[in-house]
This record gives sequence, C-alpha cells and structure tokens, in this order.
Amino acid sequence: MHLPNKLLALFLVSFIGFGCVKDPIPTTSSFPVSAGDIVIANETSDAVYLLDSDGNLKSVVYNHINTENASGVTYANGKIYLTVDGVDRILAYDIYTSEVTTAIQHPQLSGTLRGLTVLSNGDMLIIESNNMERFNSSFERVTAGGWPKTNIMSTPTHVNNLSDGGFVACSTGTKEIRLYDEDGNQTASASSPGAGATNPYDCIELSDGRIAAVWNGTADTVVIYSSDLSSVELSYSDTSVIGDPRSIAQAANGNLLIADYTLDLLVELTTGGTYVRTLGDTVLNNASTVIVIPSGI
Amino acid sequence: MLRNAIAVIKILTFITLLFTSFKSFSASVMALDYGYSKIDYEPMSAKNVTPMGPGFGVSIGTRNGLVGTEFYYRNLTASGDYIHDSVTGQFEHKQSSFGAGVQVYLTKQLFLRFGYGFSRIEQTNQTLQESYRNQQIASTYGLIDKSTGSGPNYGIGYNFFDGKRWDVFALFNRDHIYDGATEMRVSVGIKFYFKLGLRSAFTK
Repeated sequence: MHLPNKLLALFLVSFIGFGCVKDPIPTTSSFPVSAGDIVIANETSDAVYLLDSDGNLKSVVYNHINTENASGVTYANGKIYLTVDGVDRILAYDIYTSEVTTAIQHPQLSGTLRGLTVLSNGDMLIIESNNMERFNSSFERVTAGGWPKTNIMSTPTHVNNLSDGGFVACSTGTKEIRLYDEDGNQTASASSPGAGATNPYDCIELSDGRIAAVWNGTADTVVIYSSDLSSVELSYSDTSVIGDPRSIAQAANGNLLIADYTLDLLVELTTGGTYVRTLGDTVLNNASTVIVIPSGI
Repeated sequence: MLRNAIAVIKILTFITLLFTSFKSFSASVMALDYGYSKIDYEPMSAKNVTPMGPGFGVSIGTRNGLVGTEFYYRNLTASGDYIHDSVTGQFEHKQSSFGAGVQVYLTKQLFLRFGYGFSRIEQTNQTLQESYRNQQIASTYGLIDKSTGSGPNYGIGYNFFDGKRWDVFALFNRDHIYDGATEMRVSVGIKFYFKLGLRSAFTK
C-alpha cells in the first residue's frame, strides 16, 4: 500500500470514528417542585401540600406541629415561603433541595400571621393581625417610610404582589379589596360586589393584569375586576359548586383555582366563568391558601 | 470481586508475556504520539454528548520480530457540549492513562495491539449555573469526579516506513477506561529503535 493510500485509510478511519457526531439531546432538571404545581395550606391538618397541576399529591412541603397553623403561602426565587402562626415565623422551603429553613423570626412579628407575598423589588410583606410588616430581601425588618403599616385594614387575610411593584390586599373585617403602590399608599379599592358576597378572603392579579377575588358569604362569589378595580368584568356564583371560598390562584393553563375550605377541594373555572373540574378532593383538609408555582423556575 | 480477579489475571498474563518477550528481544522502542480521542460514556452518549479532544502519549517497550511489548502513558483533555434546562454548556474530560500491552505484527509494518490500562478521570462542568442545577447536571450526566477505572484496550497500527532506527506510525485504538466508558483514539507518532535492549542493560 502506497503512502497516500495509507494516509487515506487513516483519514477514513478517523472520519468513521469521529465524523458522525450528533447534536446533544436536551435534558431537564428534575426538582421536587415543577412549574404549574399547586401549593396549598390546610388549616386543620396544619400541613402544606404540594400537588401536581392535576391535583394529585406529590409531597408534603411542611407539616406543622398541632398547635401551629399554616396560614399563608407564597413563592419567590426558588423558595416557597410559609407563615407559621404559633411560634410566629416565616419558613422557606427550597424547591430544588426540599430543605426547610427559617427565613424570618422576629420579636416584632408576634401577632396573628396570615398571608404574605414578595414584591418585585424583593421585599416581603407579611400580614400580622391588622398590620402589614415589611422585610427587605435580606430579611431585615423595614421601619422607615411608614412601615410597618399598622391597622392597614381590619383582619386582612391575604396580600399578593402586583406586576407594577405594588400589592393587592383584602380584608374580612374592613370587607374591601385594596390596591397599593410599592410604598404602601392605597390607590384603589372595591367593596362587596353584591348581596351575600360578604368577606373577601383572597385577591390576586391575573396574568392579563386584571384582579380576581373570592368573596365568602351566603352567595359565595368569584369576581374578576378590571386592573384598577373600577369595574366588575366577571361574577360567578354557584353554591353547589363553591361553598366556602378562601383562596384563589391562577393555574398554569390560565384557569382559576378556588380553594374551598368546607368542601375540601379546589374548583377550576375558566376566566370566562365556566366550571371545568374539581381537584385535590381526596387530600385537602380545610384548604385556606392556594398558590401555583410560576413558569421559569 | 469477579471483575477484579479477572483484571488481576489479565495483568499477570501481560507481565508473563512481557518477560517472555524480554528473553529474546533485539531492540528497545520509544514512541511519542499525538492523537485525537472520542469518549463514549453511557450516561453522556445516551444524550448524544461525546467529549472529544487531543492528547499525547509516550511509551517504551521492545520489539522482537513479530512481537512487541510496551508500557505507555497517555494524557487527554476532551470537551463535549450539552443542553440542559435550555442552556448550552460544556463538559471537560481530563484523563491520564497508563498500562502495558503487546503488539503482534501481521506484516513488517501492520500490527495489532492488546493491552490493559488504568485511567484517572475527572469530568467537570465548565458552564456553571446555580448550585442546585449543577447538581442536577452532574447527576443527569453521571460526571466522574476524580476516579480511577481500568480495562482492556486493543487497536491496529501501521509503521509507515519499516525503518530500522526510527519510524512514523499511525494507531487506531479502543480503550475501556471506566465502567461504561470507552475511549476511541486515532493518533500518529514517531518511534525510535535502540539496539541496546533491556537484557543487555541487565547483564552489563
């Protein structure tokens, strides 16, 4: 075999061995929590459950001791934050490692803890009795700029962030839904949408900027407002379907999930007010707060 | 346990072959080569991730007619792209191998080689993200963290000039380097022949 032929053979062997390289097949992480999962606090069982988007139980995020109450849940930056009313504190559940740590435990955070949220600037708001406490992203208590907001409402139940940096809060004592800017200045409010819709337990901003809320009473009602609360765009009430709404979230598919405290289930409605299905009815126990893990985790 | 026993038997077989060869060798050989390797590691290759890269090798040995022996050391740095959580990243595969082998000449120039070697391997993710995601990547692709594997290797080579003092050779080799991992390597190099052999050195 002549030298050129030898080199050609070497080249051929190399080509066969190295020339057929395919593009990498994309892989994805498999974390305990996925986008679209549902996190729900159960008041009676003192536990926070993680459900998949179809309402099947995936795991128990945290099981409080019997004298403590899992009252509020929110998600931010890879953590599910829980308010614990008992030995009052905020727990952080790492969605990547399942590790639970204490994020905040402060002597001034000692009243009745309910809802909480993380604003777009990283600050955390926590409802404590009739007050709104604020902690910065380093979990240091904010005491400037009029914070904490004492008596912000009577018995505020839930607070949720807004895409403009502000927040929306609702109260079963004041019986209003209110919008606030990022500094805590009230910018709008809405009272009962009709007879029998008495107590606004939860209120959130939808992906299109509108505000959705659940009103509890003899006429349990789900309401979608315009983004400034100036008009009611949808009102849904059917007590055979929803009997004791306490919390609302927007599912990954855009539909509404309403936590029913008495029926122990989640009701899924379209934003057009059409009943879709119920979820989680085999595992929930006085569901008081529901959130959905957003995309992009 | 059985695997280790087989490995020990193989090593002993090679040592026996080497000493058999030493008894009547006529030349010592030193070789330097430079090549390109492709790593097939099951957890990676299942996702079409195949680190490739250059490496060099040195060896010393003997040649007696149709039989040769060698002790070798090889070094390799390879890299391979991956896509995880929609992010394109790169793995680096560093490998140092040593071992022994025998060469059987089918003609004056064409030879087959069989050997057994040990490889120290370190695979790292060069595109670091959040620690929890790095852990997922390491787990998904089974990254080898400074670990040693061993296994047989075999190949086919060709001495281009049938030289008496030196020669240029090409080698295509396949090496089992770790559990579930093989290295395919094409290299070219130069080898030098010395009349003074080991036997002479021992008797002088």
